[in-house]
Amino acid sequence: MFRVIDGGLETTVQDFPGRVGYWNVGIPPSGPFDGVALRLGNLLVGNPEGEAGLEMAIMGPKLEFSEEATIAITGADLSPKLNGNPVPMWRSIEVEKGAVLSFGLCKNGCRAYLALGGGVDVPSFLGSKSTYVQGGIGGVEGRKLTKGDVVRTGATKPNSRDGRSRRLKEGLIPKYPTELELRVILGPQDDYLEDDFLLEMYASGKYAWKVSPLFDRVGVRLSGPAHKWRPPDRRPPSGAHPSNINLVYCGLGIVGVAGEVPTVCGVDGVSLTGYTSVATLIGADMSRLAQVKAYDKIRFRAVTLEEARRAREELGKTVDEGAVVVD
Amino acid sequence: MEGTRLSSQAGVLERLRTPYVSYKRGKPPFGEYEEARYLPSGDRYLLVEFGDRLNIIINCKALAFDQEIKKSKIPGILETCVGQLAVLIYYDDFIVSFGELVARLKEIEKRISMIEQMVLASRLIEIPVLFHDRWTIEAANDYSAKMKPVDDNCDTVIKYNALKDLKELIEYTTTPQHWVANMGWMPGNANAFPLDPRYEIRAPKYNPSRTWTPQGTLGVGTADKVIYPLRSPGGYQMIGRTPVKMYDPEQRNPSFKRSIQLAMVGDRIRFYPITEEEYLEIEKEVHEGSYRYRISSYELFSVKKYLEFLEDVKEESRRELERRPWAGGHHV
Repeated sequence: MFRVIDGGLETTVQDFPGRVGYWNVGIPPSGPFDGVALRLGNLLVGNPEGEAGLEMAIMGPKLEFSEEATIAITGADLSPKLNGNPVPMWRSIEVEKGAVLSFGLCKNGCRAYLALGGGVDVPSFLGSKSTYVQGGIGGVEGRKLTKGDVVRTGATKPNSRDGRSRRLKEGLIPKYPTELELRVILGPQDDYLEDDFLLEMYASGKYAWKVSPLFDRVGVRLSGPAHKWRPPDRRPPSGAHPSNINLVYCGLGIVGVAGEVPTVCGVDGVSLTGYTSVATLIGADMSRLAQVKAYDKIRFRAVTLEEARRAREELGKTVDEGAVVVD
Repeated sequence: MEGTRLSSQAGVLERLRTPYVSYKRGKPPFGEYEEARYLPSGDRYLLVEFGDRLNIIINCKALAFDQEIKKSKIPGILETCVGQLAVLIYYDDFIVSFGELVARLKEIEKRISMIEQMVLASRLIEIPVLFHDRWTIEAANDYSAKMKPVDDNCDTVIKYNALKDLKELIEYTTTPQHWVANMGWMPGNANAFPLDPRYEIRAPKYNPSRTWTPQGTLGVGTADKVIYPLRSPGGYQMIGRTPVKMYDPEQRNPSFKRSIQLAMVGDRIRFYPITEEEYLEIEKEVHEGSYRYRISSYELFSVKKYLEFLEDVKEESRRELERRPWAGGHHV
C-alpha cells in the first residue's frame, strides 16, 4: 500500500495489453504507452509481465510506502529518489515501510514506470485495470493519481519472492534519443499525397518533424511544412480540404493529417477519423513513440509488412525472462 | 534527368506499398466499388472499404461483411469494427499473414449479396438539442483566440448550405431521422446521416482541429452529424448542445443498463429543439438520474422500402441539391 503525497503531472495505473476488444465502441486499449518498459519492470519484480503498475510522465509523483515492497523503476530517467537519495533504475529494489519515493528532473525520454511486486490492487473494468482518463474508466476512479490517494498493492502473488535482486542485462536498457526514426507502413490513405512529398516526408527518413507541445497518450502532434496534395482528379474524394474524408475506423499508430497538421495516434487514441491517415506506425515502434516530448524530432521511414513482422519478433525476444539477471 | 529521378522514386514507393486494389470511383447512385479495397493500416490492422459515398447501401454491405467474418471464425482475427464505408480488422500476423487474411476475406466478400433484401432491427432515439447555445459559442471563441479566427459555427453552416437563417438550419436538422452508421471515435459517439436526402446539409471541418469541444455538442462535418459524448478534441462545426448523455460508464440510468453507450449502429436518431430553460431542467434530471430517455422499441427497417422512398423523393432531392453551393464540386 502507498499514499500519494503529490500526483505529479500525469500518473496513472496501467496494465498490459490494456482493454482490448472495445475499439468498435470507441474505447481504446489504453495500457502502458511504453509497453516494453512496464513489462520489463514487471519481470524485474517477479510479476507476470502484464501486471498493473504506474505510468508517469515528465514530472513523477511523490509516494509514501505504508508497508515494505519490492519495486523497479524503468523507462525514462526522471531522477528517481528514495528518501531523498538517488536510486538506480532497471533493477529491483526493496523498499522499507515509511520510505518516500520521489522524482526530479526529466533527464531523458518522457514516461517512466513503477512496477510493484504483486501489482496494483484496483478494480478491473471491461477486463483491464488500465486508466483511460478521457473516458473516466479504470485505474483509481478513472483518473490520474492525486494527493491523498491511498493505493493498495500486492493483489497478485509475485512469481518469485526470494529476496534476491534482479537487474536488466547490460546493453538491453533502451535509449531515448531526442531525435529518432520511427518505422511506418504507408497508408491506408497515402494516395492523397503527391509521391515525391510522401517519399520525402513519410517514407525516406530524411525529414525531421518537430513534436509540438500538444502531445499526450491520445496523440502526438507534429509540426512541419504544408502538405503537397494530389489534385482532385488523381485522388479519392475529399471534402472542403483535401485531408477531409468520410469517417473510417483507424488503427493505433496512424499518422493522421488534419488539415496540414499530422498527429500520431497513441494508446488512448480515437477509433474513427475523418482525416487522411497517410502512414501507420508499426506495432514494434509504438513504445518508442511513448518516449518523445515537445521539440524532439521524428523521422518516418517506411518499411514493408515483412520488415514490420521481423521487428515485432525481435522486440518479443527483448521482453523475456532471459533479459533479467538474478544476483 | 528529372524523368529518371521520378521513376526511381516511383520504384521505391512501389516496393513499400502493399499491393491492394487501386482506387476507382464507386458506381452511381450509391458509390459501391466493383471490388472492395483491402488497405493495410500498419502491421496490425486491415481496412476493407466498400464504397466512397455515405449511404445505407454501403453501410449495410459493411454490416453484412462483418457478420460473415464473425461466422467464419478465421484464426488470428482479434476484433472487427464495422463502419459506414468500411470494416477495420485487427489481426495478429503471427497467426494469419496479411496475404492469407486478404485471400480468406475475398472469399467472404463474394458471398455477400442481396443488400436490398436486408431488414434490420432499429430503434428511434430522440435527442433534445439547444441550438446556437452559449457553451459551444464560447468554445469557438476560445479557438479563435488561441488558434485562428473562425466564424460563428451556425453562420458557417448556414452559408455553406445557402440556407436562409438559423430557423431553417434548425428545421433541416430536426425534421429528418438520422441513421447511425458508425459507433466509436470516443466511447458512445454515434455518427449519423439524414435518411431523407432532401434535408442533407454539409459542413467543412476545422483545420487544424480543436483541442476541446463541450460534452454534448451537436457537430456537423461533411454530411455527418455527431453528439460529442465527452469533452474532447474535435473538428466538426458546433451548432448546438444536448444535456443528455451518449456514454455512461457508471450505468446508473436504466437506458444504460445493457450497455455503457446509448446508441448502436442501425439505430435512428431524431433531434428536437429545446429552450435554454428546458436544457437546464433536463441537465438536472440527467444528473440526478431521474431523466427518462426517449427510445422506441425495436422496429423493422426494410432497405427495400427505404430505396422506394428514395425513388419517390428523387426529383425533390435533386431540386434541393441544386440550391447547395457544394453540390457542384466533388465532395465527400
